[in-house]
Amino acid sequence: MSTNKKTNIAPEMLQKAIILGSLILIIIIFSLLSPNFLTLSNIGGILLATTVNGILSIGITYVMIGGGCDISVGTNMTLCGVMMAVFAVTFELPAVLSVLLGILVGTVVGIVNGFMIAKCKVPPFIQTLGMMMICKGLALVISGAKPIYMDKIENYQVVATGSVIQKITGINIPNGIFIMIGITIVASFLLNKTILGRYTFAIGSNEEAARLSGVNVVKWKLIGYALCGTMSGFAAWFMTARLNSAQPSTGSGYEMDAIAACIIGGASMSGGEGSVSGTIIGAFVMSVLINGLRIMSVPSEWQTVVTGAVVIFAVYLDTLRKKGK
Amino acid sequence: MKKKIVSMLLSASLVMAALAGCGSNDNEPQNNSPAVTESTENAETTEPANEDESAPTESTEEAVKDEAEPTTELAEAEPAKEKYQIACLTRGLYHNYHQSVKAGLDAAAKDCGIEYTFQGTENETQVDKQVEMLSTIIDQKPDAIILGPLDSEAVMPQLERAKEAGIPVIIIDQPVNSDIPICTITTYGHANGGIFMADKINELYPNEEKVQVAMIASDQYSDYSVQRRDAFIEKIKDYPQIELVDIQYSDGGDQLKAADGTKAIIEAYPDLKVIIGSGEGNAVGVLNALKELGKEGEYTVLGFDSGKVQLEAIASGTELGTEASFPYMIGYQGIVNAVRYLNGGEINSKIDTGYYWVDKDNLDTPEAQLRIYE
Repeated sequence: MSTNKKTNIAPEMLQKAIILGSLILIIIIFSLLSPNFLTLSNIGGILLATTVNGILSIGITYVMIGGGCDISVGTNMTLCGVMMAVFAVTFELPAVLSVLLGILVGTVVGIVNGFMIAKCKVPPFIQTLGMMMICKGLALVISGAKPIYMDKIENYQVVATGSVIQKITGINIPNGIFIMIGITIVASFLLNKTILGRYTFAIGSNEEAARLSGVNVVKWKLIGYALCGTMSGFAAWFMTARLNSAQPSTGSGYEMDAIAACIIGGASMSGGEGSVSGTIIGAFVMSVLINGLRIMSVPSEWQTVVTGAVVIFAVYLDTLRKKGK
Repeated sequence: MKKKIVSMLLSASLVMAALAGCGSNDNEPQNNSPAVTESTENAETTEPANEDESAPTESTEEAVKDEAEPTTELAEAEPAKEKYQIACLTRGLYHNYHQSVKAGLDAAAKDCGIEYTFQGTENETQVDKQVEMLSTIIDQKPDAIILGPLDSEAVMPQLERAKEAGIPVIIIDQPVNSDIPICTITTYGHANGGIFMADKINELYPNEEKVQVAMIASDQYSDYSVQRRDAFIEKIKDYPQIELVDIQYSDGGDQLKAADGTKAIIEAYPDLKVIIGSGEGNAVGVLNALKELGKEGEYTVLGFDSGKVQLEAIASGTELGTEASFPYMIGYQGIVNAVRYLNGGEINSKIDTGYYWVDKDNLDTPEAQLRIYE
């Protein structure tokens, strides 16, 4: 089979080509089915709808490649958002500082996860499950289970939903997209071109072998989780900017969408495989699907069913490819 | 060592957070409590006028009329005779709505001089968990239980048990089909909200050939969501110009999901005129979507509930108005009636806290202001 030969040359590329091909196929199908799908403003909507999930799933990609998993990203994001609001509204710190401190909270949560998993050998699922609950609880305690509004902070929303491009070209593409693309590029660079990426892949493929060849497994795992937590912080920034408030009840459940995006994007639950670009495409597959089904007025129930089926189908495609290899 | 430091830091931040949280909590009921007496005077005159009861049974009408009296009376004159233990289990904890119910409970508990316990499920789908929690509460034998059931059938065995144990039960939010509860306090007829919206749209666009309407609702199973939706669908059959083009759900009022859903609908239906946000999170999502698209004011937005964002939107004209329910009153009446019953007084079996239409014209009236929650 010709695909087999290609797999031998560049398996990563082929895998990405398959996902990207699927994304384009979905876009073509929806464009044919509805004239309202491929419009500029709808594309803007899809892009903006992808930011939160996209950034969360980039974080999880690191952890998954390293052979772990993190299901605390959703509520970690909630906690970061609440903290941003507390810093900005209650303590009246400058908005920029509040956001940075909020992102730092996410990093700290990630470090705690990483420390417990890498050093204290708590299984990743258990540790992050516990952390998911802790973050959820803390977010509620800190906010008093009430939303905290950022409306007194001028231009807070501009970050995510304003459009610099619109001022120049007249096309309404929200700023959030460019920041997400920036994060994607940086994350991709870290993963592909730096020692962090190489060690993460090594640890995910075979932790024992990595340790024996002198890799400080604890340290690099911890950094992976810390990065994942930081991404939750970035996601929280967008979340609060889009909502112009911190919502203590929004965020749980988002981790599953993020994990689904990673899996569609080719990350493996058993570690050692995955890429940032694949994950972002995976996140787009999900949001394009949901948006398209909504435009077609498909009932929400069926949107969920279709998304679930796509996740399974994506993994099935991947196993087919591996079998071929 | 490291672990210790980390855990110390965590607990320190928790304590700080708890303090911050408490601080903001305490202010809430105090701000509201004096206003209650005010509202109850108004309730008599305003509510029947605004409330278009589809099937006004005798008892509901009575209840609406009597609503004013027990509250003022108890709030000022009838403190608890003993230190009653009242347990409250609500339909959720984290929504603004439930927080407003809690604010009412807090205020009433303070006014009656009792203490109560407050519990709730994490979200409005955990029927089984609520039944479990209710069982535990019954085992603790409180003097009275205030219950907001998630499912009116699932709690039946527990209601029987409570009856056997001699614990009076007051139902809030969601009526149950049983005569065990001594009193039911709720917005009777969520359906009325749906009917009201249909009438409102007809009133706004009486002569148009076609009015496309979209609805963003929380989910497909909550009673309030379903009743509003179905009543709306039924009622627009009377108005041939109104066409409901799409309903999108937002996973229980997730603002982001509501916003993305709204945007998709707007793309799909260029002629759309009216968007209904059936519930706080959904209405806010609709408003956010319009803001993000730069299309504020281009659509007629109708909402339910009365959080801060919606009220501001009504003031600025981006939202036409909202059907406000009255969670604070539901909570307040819950405790007040429980205490009154335990004191040996008479109480009504049905209390309707009603919907109340809030728009730009009546935004600043006390009736409207009292229904606002953060």
